[in-house]
Amino acid sequence: MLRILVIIFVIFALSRAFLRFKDKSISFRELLFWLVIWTIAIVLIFEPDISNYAARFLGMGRGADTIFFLAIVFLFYSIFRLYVKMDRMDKDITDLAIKISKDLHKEQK
Amino acid sequence: MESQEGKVFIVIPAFNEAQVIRGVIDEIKNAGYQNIIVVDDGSADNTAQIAKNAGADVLNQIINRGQGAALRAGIEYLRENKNPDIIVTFDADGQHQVEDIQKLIKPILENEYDIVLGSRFMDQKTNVPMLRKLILKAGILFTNLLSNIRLTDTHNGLRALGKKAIHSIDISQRGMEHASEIIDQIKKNKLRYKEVPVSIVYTEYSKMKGQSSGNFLRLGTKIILKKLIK
Repeated sequence: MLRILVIIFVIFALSRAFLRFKDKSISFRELLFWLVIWTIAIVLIFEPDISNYAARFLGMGRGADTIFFLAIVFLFYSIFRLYVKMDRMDKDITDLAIKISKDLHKEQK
Repeated sequence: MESQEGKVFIVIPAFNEAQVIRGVIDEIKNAGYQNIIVVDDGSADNTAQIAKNAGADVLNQIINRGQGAALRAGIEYLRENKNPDIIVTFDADGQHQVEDIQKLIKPILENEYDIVLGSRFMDQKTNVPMLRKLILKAGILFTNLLSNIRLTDTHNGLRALGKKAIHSIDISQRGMEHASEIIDQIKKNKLRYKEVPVSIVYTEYSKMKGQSSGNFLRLGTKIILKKLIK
C-alpha cells in the first residue's frame, strides 16, 4: 500500500518537474537532478536492500538510517541555497528601490 | 554653511516620523545647516510631505527597506549630485542633539579624520535605560570582536563622514546591521576615525519607535550568518 502511495507521489512530482521544465522555469540540469532523485527513490522502494550497500560504504548500521542521513544533509543544503537566493533577491529589491527613489527625485525637478 | 566650512549635508532616514520630523528639521535649520536630505523610508504617514514643507530635500523610498538602505540612498544621491564635503547622519526621532553636529564635523574640517562617530558612552551625560545599556554593551563587545576595531559605542546613528569616507563606504546591509558594516569598512578602507561624546535623549516617543530589545539577538545571528556566507 505504502509503495503505491509513494509511486503516485513520485509520478506527481515528476510530472510537475516536466511541466516546469516545459515552461522554462527550471533548467535541463535541474530537471535531470530531480529525475535522478526520484529514480533513486523508486529503485529503493522496490529494492530496499540496495541502501544497505550505501550504508556499509558510509560506515552506517542500516540502510534506512543512511537514507535519512542523506535526506537531512540534502535538506540542509537546500535551505542554505534558498537562503542565499533570497538574500540575493532581497538585495536586488533594495537596489531597485534606491534607484527608483533617485530617479523619482530627478523627475520632480 | 557653504563658505568656509565646506558643503555639509545632513541625511535623515525617516520611517513614520510625522509627529516629530518637523521639529527635528527646524532645529537643524536654526543651528545653521540648510542642506537637509530626508529619506522617507516608505512611511505610511505623511512624513515626506511634512519634511518637504519644512524645507528639506526629500528622497522617497517607495517601499520600506530599512535604515541602512535609506542611508545608502541619501549618500548615493549626494555623491552623484551634490559633491558633498561632509555628510552627517542624524536620526529622525529626536534622540540626537543638534549641538553635537559641530563636534562631529570639526575633526573632519581640520582634516585630521575621515569619519567621526558619536558615542553616548564616553561621558555620563546620557542616561541610558538599564536594559538598553546591557544590550548595547553586548552589541559593542560583539562588534568590536568581529571588526577588530575598539569603539565605545557601535550602534549610534549620529556620525559624520568626510570625503574619503563618503566615497569609500558602501552600505549593503539594508537594516540595522549597517552600523556594524560601516565599522567593518572603516577598517577595510583604512579610514582615520574618531569617536566624540554625544548625548542621546531617550524620550517616550523614541523608546517606543526604537529597536525593541529582542531584536538585537536576531540582528547578531544575522550578522554572523552573513560573515559565514561571505
